Amino acid sequence: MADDPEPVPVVEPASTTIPLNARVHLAHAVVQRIAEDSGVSLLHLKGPAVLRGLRPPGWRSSDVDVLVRPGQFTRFEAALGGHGWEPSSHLETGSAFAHAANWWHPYWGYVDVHAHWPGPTASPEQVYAAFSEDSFDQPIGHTPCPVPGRTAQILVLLLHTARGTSDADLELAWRVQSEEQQQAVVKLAVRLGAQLPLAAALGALDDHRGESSYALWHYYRQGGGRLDEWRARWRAAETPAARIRVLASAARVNRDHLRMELGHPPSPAEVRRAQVARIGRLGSETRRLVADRLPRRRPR
Amino acid sequence: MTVERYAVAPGVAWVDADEMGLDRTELYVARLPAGPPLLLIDAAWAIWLAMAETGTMAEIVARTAELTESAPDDIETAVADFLDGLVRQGLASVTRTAEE
Repeated sequence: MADDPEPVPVVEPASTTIPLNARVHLAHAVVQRIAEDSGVSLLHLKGPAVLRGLRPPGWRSSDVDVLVRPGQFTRFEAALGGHGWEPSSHLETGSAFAHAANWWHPYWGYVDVHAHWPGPTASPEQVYAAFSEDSFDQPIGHTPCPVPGRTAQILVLLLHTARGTSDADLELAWRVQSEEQQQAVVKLAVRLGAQLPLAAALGALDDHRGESSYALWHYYRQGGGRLDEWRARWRAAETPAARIRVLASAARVNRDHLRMELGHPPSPAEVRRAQVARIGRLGSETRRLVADRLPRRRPR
Repeated sequence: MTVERYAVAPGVAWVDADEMGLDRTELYVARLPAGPPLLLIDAAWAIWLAMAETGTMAEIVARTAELTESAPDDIETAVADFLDGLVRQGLASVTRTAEE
């Protein structure tokens, strides 16, 4: 009697067992394919798009970041929606910079779709053009994905550092870089009007004290309460229209964030409750701030 | 006589666990852009890697035998069946050329 034949290996669905980092790699490839099919140009940023050596070995990403060519954002969002992706947060509610919308897919997880990269005062068109100049295809999931050149990648990482309190990227993205490379990054930052956030990332923000957006970058780099954030955004808003937008967003409940907190679309009653709580939080922070500034009565 | 060469199909993304720093004999594959993500374990992992590195059936069988520490004759049928399955699912492509 013949031996049993060798069993044929099987291919199993992996949506629940695939490690997050591997899923992010595949998601980059998926997003790239959707962009190509819809005639959209974009650049992959951070995570597996970063050149080896600019981030610590073993660095893990939890989502995909892409920067869409200006003018193609709406088309790309429509393409994502047509492939089963769902909006998780919108451009105007994602952050103080209104720079990205977040989308989610049950297989691929989250992608941050950037309309612009926070930091430069240059136009999104100028920034995208500069980031694209030395771009090249980086294989991610064995799929060619366009990424910025080395100097732009370093600036992207440093501008991201400027928006948080962590220094994790500074060692590899800045300190170990040659003087020539550092000068190239500074030159690009100057060209794009990103000197202030670059200084914030590198710990030299005080060189820019007195500039309108100083408080905003100080808040992001050092942290603080929500009132600090709104005050910083108010100071950074340079036009009456921008200040009106800050006031409106300060008082408005972020429905995208509320939906994520609740795990379902908020009902009108839930929005009202959140609105009251939000105003209460702002009010208590204001009272605390005022109390801190009141002169203390000297003990008799 | 024709020679069949197998390859990862265009529009298919894949990641080896080793690339993620994971000590696992598995990889993750997806047709773009719809998916779903698929998990290939052990023998399936070995055949996929062998296909990505080489091309002809003989080469794939030989490389799979190395990776799985098997005798090529013992695994040839299973490898051929698995490759046919990959082609049917659109995960692999096969080209036939006349042997010189």
